[in-house]
Amino acid sequence: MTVMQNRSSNRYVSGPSPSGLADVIDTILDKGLVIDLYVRVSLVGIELLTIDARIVVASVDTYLRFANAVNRMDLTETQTSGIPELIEDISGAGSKGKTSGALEGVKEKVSGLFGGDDDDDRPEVVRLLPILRLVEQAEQQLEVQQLEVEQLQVRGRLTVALHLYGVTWAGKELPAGVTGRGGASLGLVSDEQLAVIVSEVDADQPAGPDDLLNHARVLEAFAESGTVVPMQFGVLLLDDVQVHEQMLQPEGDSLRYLLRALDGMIQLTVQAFHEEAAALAQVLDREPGLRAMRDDIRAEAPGPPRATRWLSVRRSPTGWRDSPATTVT
Amino acid sequence: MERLAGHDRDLILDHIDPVVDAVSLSDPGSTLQVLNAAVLVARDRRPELDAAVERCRAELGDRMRIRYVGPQPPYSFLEPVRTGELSWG
Repeated sequence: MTVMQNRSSNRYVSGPSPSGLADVIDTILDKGLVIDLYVRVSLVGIELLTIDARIVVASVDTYLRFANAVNRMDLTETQTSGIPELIEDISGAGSKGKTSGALEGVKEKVSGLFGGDDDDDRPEVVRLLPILRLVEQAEQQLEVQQLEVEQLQVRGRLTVALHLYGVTWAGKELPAGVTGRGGASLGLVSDEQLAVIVSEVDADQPAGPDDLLNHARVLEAFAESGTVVPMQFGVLLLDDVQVHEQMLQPEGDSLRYLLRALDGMIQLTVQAFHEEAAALAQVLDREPGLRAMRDDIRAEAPGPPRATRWLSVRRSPTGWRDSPATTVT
Repeated sequence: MERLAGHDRDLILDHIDPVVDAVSLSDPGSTLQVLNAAVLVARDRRPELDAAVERCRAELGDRMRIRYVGPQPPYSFLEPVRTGELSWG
């Protein structure tokens, strides 16, 4: 069987499929390179250009995390009402930095949605907790933002900025047919060895799920043909000069190290889901010899000792089967 | 159910293991999810990984749905490489 043959037939295709929004949210919001602008600001004192960038990062991040959490609930809750208003409240408040009263309102609404009459509401409470935590985080961020946004508005800044996607070796061609956020063309800010993938964005525009997906698509296009170190979504710098000063110069050594270490490597995601319990039970009835099947597999491929790094269970490489899977942090 | 989940997870990992350089396991997002893995693989070995996933689907397709997504930049391996937890040679 060749790999390409089945590509368009059905869900049992051979090749991997591109990331969906859920994959992107799991990876880009939590992983990837960040520049810790806040630390830098506090080290060098109040330096306005850097603060600009941090505000954009904070507001985009807050907005997306909250919208995402709400969306996820929407997927699991079939009867949820009022969610769109929640998103509007939070995105309005988060992006403009106008009021934190909206957040208070959201908190009440969220509580109201799930504080049902029956006592049997434990699952809802469990789902609710992360949301409230996000609201609280958003509140804290907002207090800081509000002040700084007002300062910036006076100075009339915060318009066009560069969205950072990732870092690759200099001299790469831009992949054809891929555009940046909002359809802007991609560009490279390079020094002798490294190139930062960027595109211009209107920093006043709040980012949405489409932008997040676009960020992933740009990186995947680069990953098709070369090694790329991805940035977390939402890192914006004002211009080329800042990219040099904030990224290429201070981070150059570690970026080169990462690119060399991961040279020629790509990541793929493999997720497996059981069918619903009822269907599963039927399968089990039909196939009492599951264990025998497993033993067959082992016998077929004894192979050399494992060379694979099991990141979640490094302490006992031969005992990973017994260990609960944990997230690598 | 739990035993079956473990069994099926092992089965998939056994198929994938010989091809990849590193695996990063994350907590499954739901009770029906038995595997949530990011794998690091050399670009020129991807067809082998495609084939391994295909074999998993052939064997487990009657009771499992397998999502196979990529290629992505190495999101899940940046931090392990940076800290030295993951290194080569």
